[in-house]
Amino acid sequence: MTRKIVKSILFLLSSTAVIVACKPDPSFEPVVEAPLEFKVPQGWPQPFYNYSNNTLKKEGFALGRKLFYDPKLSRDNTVSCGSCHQQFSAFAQIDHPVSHGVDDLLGNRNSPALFNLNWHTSFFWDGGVNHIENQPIAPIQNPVEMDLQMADLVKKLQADATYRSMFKSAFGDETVTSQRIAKAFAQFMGMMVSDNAKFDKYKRGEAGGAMTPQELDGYEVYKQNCAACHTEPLFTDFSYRNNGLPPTSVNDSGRAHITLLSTDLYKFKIPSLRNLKYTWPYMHDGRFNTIDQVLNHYATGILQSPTLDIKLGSGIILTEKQRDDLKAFLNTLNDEAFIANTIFAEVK
Amino acid sequence: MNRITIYTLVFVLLHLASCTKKPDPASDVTVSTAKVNIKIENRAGNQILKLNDVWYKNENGDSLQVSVFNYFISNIKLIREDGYIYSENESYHLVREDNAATKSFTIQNIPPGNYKTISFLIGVDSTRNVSGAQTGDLDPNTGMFWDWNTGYIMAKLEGKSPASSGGMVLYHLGGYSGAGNAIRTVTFNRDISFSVKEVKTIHFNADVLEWFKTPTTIKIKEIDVVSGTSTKIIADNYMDMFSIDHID
Repeated sequence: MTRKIVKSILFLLSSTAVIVACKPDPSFEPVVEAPLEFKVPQGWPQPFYNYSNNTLKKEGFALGRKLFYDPKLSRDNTVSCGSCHQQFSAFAQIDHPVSHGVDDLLGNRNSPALFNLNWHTSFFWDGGVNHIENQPIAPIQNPVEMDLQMADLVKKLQADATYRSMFKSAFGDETVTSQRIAKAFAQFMGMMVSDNAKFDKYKRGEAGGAMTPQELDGYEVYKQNCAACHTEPLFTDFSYRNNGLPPTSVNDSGRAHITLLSTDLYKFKIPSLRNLKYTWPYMHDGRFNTIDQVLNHYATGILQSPTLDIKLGSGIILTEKQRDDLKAFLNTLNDEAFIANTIFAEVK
Repeated sequence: MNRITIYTLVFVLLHLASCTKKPDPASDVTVSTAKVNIKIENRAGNQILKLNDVWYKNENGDSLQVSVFNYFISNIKLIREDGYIYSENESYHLVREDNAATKSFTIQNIPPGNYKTISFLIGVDSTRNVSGAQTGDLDPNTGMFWDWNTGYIMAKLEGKSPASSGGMVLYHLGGYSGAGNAIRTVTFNRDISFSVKEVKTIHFNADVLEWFKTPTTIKIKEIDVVSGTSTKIIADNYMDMFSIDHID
């Protein structure tokens, strides 16, 4: 008994002494870390962004989550990231061809769904942003979205005691910087992995993954007609292509806006086919409300032009059965668990 | 050995292991290394540049007032006669004419010797343009960063001119690759010798009017806002805006 007590005391003493004895440079003081793991789903490629320069931490994720839902990130405290990226809509905005920014200003492009972002090598419909950490700056500063300069956001957050303490928990001290804001965002948004659709369970041979004959027929239709651009397992190849949408009065030049190349005119980033049930309307400008309208476009609506994707020259003509099968297959890509996952929800 | 002894040993070992001080490479070498202060004076021709107040004339004879003159200097290197290359660590400096403190900085830890060449980039190397969120002089909140088309504005000249149809001159030079690459390498072959602990100062001049001449004479009437195609023309011009005034 006595020996046990002596042992405990000695052990405690030794651990305390170790902590007290070393006073590291305060800037490198380790923050107590709760493990938070980013898992690459089985059978998926390695992501482009892997947190090698951004240590994943429960506190960093929590900070990113708070920032995501905080309207303070807009000029007049009315618009948050979550305003136009709603979880029930797989972080797109359902029923909105374009979304409302500050002063109810409207942009020109459809709010994209947010999931599996760590695999993206570029962001936005035109791919103008080249890194997940640089993504949030664009909507925050965009005059028709949140219209707040990063320097002003840093000041706003630095003046807020709750944020100061959250930055300390996440990064070791209370200093707010645009870099830390970006890293916290990447910790939250990068963790939004959608890999639990019925099709994923089918691929992994899990319970709930039994595909019906019609869904399997649809999978074949997909493989023959869609997979070249909407490639598995992310259901996009992340390329930019002109899919033959007639330009509207906005005359959005798409990728050419970034590259200034006429060969990129009207090309847009290929969106994923995951979670389509929750993310309508479709296309870069949200012009189509239903999958049928999209398939009608590919069948008969394609506008021929010099930059039209070579695979779409004669459209995609499906029989009625093929179309029904394809739609049945697309339904197996909806991930109910993802949109219901409470770790991504706003903290009320 | 009884258990208490073992625990004591573990305690001592743990204590020792946790406190092994790693040598700081920087503090190790400062004992013998040299330093160089970089001081930059922005000019318009032979005159010291003054923002807003003064009308200057460019090579084409266009009148011009300057309100903003900012640029990045990065990747500063010194090459010694034996081939050793000194590269400044985290070598990113945003120079702003409206902020005197940015026009002078010190490069540390230079091993002594006879150096023959100094070189640096105007702009930020492509790697940092594709590496996510940065801080310090590379913080995207300085007005030298494009949020919609990721990348740094390598150099920025704003002002007014009656030759411009809108009265404004807006030269924002961004782009880190391909034809729109605004990064330029500046090299001076100049002897600079450092003895142990010596501190020297290199006084650079940067002439804003060089943006408008050699190799291409710019007419503000034709280029009042820099776009994709004019990026290369202006960047080729500003490549030789620097000169070494003197070293002391």
